[in-house]
Amino acid sequence: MQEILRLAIRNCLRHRLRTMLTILGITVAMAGFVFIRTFIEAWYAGVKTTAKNRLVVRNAVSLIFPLPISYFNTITQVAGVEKAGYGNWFGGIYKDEQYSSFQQFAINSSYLDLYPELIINPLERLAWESNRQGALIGRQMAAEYGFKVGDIIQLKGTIFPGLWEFEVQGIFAAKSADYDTRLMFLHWDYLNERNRTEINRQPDHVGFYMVKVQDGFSPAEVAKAIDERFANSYAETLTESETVFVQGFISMLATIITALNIISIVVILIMLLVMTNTMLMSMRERYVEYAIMKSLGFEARHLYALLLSEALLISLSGFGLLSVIMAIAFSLPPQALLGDLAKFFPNITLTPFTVGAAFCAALVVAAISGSLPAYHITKLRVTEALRYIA
Amino acid sequence: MSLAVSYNARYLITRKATTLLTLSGIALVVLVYVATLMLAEGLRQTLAGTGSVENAIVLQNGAQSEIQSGVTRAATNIILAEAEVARRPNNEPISSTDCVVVVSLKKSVDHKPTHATIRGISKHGLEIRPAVKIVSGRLFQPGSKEVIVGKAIHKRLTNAQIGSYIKLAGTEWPVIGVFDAGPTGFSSEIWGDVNVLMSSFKRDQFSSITFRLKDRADFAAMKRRLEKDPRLKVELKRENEFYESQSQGLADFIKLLGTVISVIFSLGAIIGALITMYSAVLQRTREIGILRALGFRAGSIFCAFSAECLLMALAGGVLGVTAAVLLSFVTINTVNFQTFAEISFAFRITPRIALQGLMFSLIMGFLGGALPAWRAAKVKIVEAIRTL
Amino acid sequence: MTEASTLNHPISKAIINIEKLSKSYQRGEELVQVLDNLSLTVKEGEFTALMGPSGSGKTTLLNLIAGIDKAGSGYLEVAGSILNELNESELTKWRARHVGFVFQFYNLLPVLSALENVALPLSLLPMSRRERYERARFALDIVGLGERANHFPAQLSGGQEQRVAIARAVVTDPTIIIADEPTGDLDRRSASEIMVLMQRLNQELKKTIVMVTHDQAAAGYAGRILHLDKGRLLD
Repeated sequence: MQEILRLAIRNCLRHRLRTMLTILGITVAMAGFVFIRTFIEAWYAGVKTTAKNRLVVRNAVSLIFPLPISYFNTITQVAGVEKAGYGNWFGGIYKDEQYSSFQQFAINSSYLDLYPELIINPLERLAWESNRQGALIGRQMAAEYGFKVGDIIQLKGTIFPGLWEFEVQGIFAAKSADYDTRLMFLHWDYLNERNRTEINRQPDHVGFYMVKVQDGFSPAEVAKAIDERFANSYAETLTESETVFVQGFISMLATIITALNIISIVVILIMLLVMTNTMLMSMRERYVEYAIMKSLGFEARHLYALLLSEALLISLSGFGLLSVIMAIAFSLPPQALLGDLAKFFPNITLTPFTVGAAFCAALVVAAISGSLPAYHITKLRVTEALRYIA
Repeated sequence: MSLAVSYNARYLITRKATTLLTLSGIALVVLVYVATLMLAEGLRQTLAGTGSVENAIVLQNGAQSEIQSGVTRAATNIILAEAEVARRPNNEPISSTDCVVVVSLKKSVDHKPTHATIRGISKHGLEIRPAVKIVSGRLFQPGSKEVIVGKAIHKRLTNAQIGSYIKLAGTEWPVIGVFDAGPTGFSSEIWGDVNVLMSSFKRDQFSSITFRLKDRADFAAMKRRLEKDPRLKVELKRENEFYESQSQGLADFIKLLGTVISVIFSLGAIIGALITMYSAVLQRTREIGILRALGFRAGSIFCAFSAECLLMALAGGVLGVTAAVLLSFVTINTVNFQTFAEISFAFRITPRIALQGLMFSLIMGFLGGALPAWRAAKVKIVEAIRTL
Repeated sequence: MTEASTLNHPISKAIINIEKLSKSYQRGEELVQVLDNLSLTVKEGEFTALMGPSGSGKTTLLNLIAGIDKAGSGYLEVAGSILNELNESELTKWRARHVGFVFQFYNLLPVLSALENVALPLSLLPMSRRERYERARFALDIVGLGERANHFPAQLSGGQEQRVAIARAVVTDPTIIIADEPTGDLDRRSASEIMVLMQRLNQELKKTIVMVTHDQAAAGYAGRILHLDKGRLLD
């Protein structure tokens, strides 16, 4: 009803400070909710960019043990293997950082063919292939650190100790926005060379093999076939789909993610507390007015609609304010907001699911906080209320 | 008339409801804040306790953790021959050359794989860590494939009980004992003979060397000397400091996350307090006018309202801290992404943390009450009395 | 005075019929009898004042007639409906159609203008917005506050607020007007303004009015005065 809506709006404007504070409270709580949910989703985003028909082959005994380079030929000949590549996780540190936000992999050339979702300029790739000390870096990483083609990146090796210098030959992007392009590709050959001569940390070994399964072949079966090839050998392999592999990493923090999920519910509770507080206060102040309306012939459902409208106006305003803030926040680079935390995430994007969840939360909170005082009102006896002298 | 009385009762209940709501909000926020501190503290205690200040640990230079490190036998021999290393009467160094490996084992609860840390220790490996005690079964026989399992994980992994067999490097290793290393990282590990492990895993380099210092003060000089030696390529750390730094990443992460969340939450609670207090002031404007007319100064009005808010906040704080204490019964198992190892730690409350929680609630109470209290103090007597 | 009014309206039907009406409530251990077997008839077009000391039951009687309270026992028929037989929802609808209220204070919603306050009860009836506001304006004119249509209660004096309340009470063209101490909160001059208005409503618009009051002067404007004590009518 128009009248009721008008009344609701005017009632909200009565105590402007209180209404604004409540809206602010809702906004803050929703911001917390969105932050937590976005965090959780960002953490799981890694799985989205994996492919089921890409397999990871690694040492069965332990993730940290390498596999011999000699396995490469054998793997490419297994039925169902369309293409294979290999690499080592380099784990270098840039400048004085405690942990670098970009990952470095020492790979062979065919590795790049396994990732059609990366957009690599063919000329840049050629340049990289002809420079042993060349590096291909991802767009996000380039943006974050301001690297350009031709820059020299100096890394301090941890697993492979020493000072390493690489020249940026190209910057690649990814087709999907979910893809984490804080990534740097180096040459495995260069790493192995130095490993053989200076470092001697299991040279001629790779950290993992990457395999693309041919269309028409079952990834599970190809994985099994690969492992069977190397059963009872010097280094047994464990082959699994990229999705399963990444999930293994993500589940490392499963407990903390659960805790965060719990906290996001607590946030909704806090929203509810703030709203209900305000609504109860408003109701108490206007008790007599409700009595008068009842005496005029307004029924419980009208008054309920009034209270609900007020609650909705407040919580939806909070949502509106939140939307404005989020729009600004997400157009900024992650560093500005999260500072150090940004290192731990691939991409921060606001998913429609999170927005929808926040909106639903706003509706639910309004409904509940409006219903509680409304219940009091429906029980209201006009005669008693009229005896009330504020 | 009884009608009026019942109405007043309802009115009072509403006021109580408001106070309770605001109080609960503050309690919740304090709970989250204190829980974060407790989590970080539990983590810190677990890893700081791992390792003693009497010992030094040697790793490959640049290695971020034991699993990334490789120290050659040659370097080991040189180091253990150094003067600062404490020795037994028979001149053997009090040390342990360890080989640390991370393998995938199945959890008993859902049979999903998790990462477990396997540590090969040498003959005196237990001796050098006096905090570690065998609580059931016995120590492994040197030269055999027997292993002992840490108390924190022996129930969490399948086949990790005494009498079962753990599959490592393709063969079965009998579990013959359980050890307790207190609230430290060691309690989540599986220990065996380093030589047997190294040969099974085909490793020829140690991950780390831990030895007892003759004198704690020797450490600095020894560190400088060894780290400069080009033959060795190692770095030296005090054992306790090393293990503490291992959790740095995870601890920082938890603290940062927790702080951000707590800040956001506290804003919400402060706003809730502001709303409540402003309404209280509005309601009692007449009361305030009368008090001022009686002679109370504006300052006392300010203090009175501030105190009321602080009291409400403190009550919320006490509630929150009490609830947090209940959390101490919860254990967290997660994987430290720096070391890949699974660690088990609990929420640990200390008097300091409890105090921090209460201080936090008081700050929220102060911030939520100051502005409304100031407004209360500014109330003009004349206007207030006129208010119906 | 009663004779006079019946002479002027020869065929007046009884709009309020009360027989042996009782109401009591429990107060701790005591059973308090508010109304005790009360019987009363009010004819259409009558202006009745109810007077009596505190606790005499006059306000309770008023509330019962107005349909905002329920009797314990007895017969209560107002504007053709037996009120005891109506449930809460029916009673509310009945009130909206048949009763106009004027309370002692807090009549108006502070967030609505005078015109909007008067139009409020009309939003429950099916009519266009234009019609509502036309009728509201008409009612405001009757009480002489046409130029204050857009003022808010905070901008009106006590007497003016009550006049707006009266306008609201008549705007739905109710069968009876119920007034509970309408002059209780006003100064002498405003009080008489209000009573003159009420009298006009009764005599010109033929409105049936039942009013509770402490004020002798106010009661003087009514056509008939009834006295209550301890829940009974005094003759």
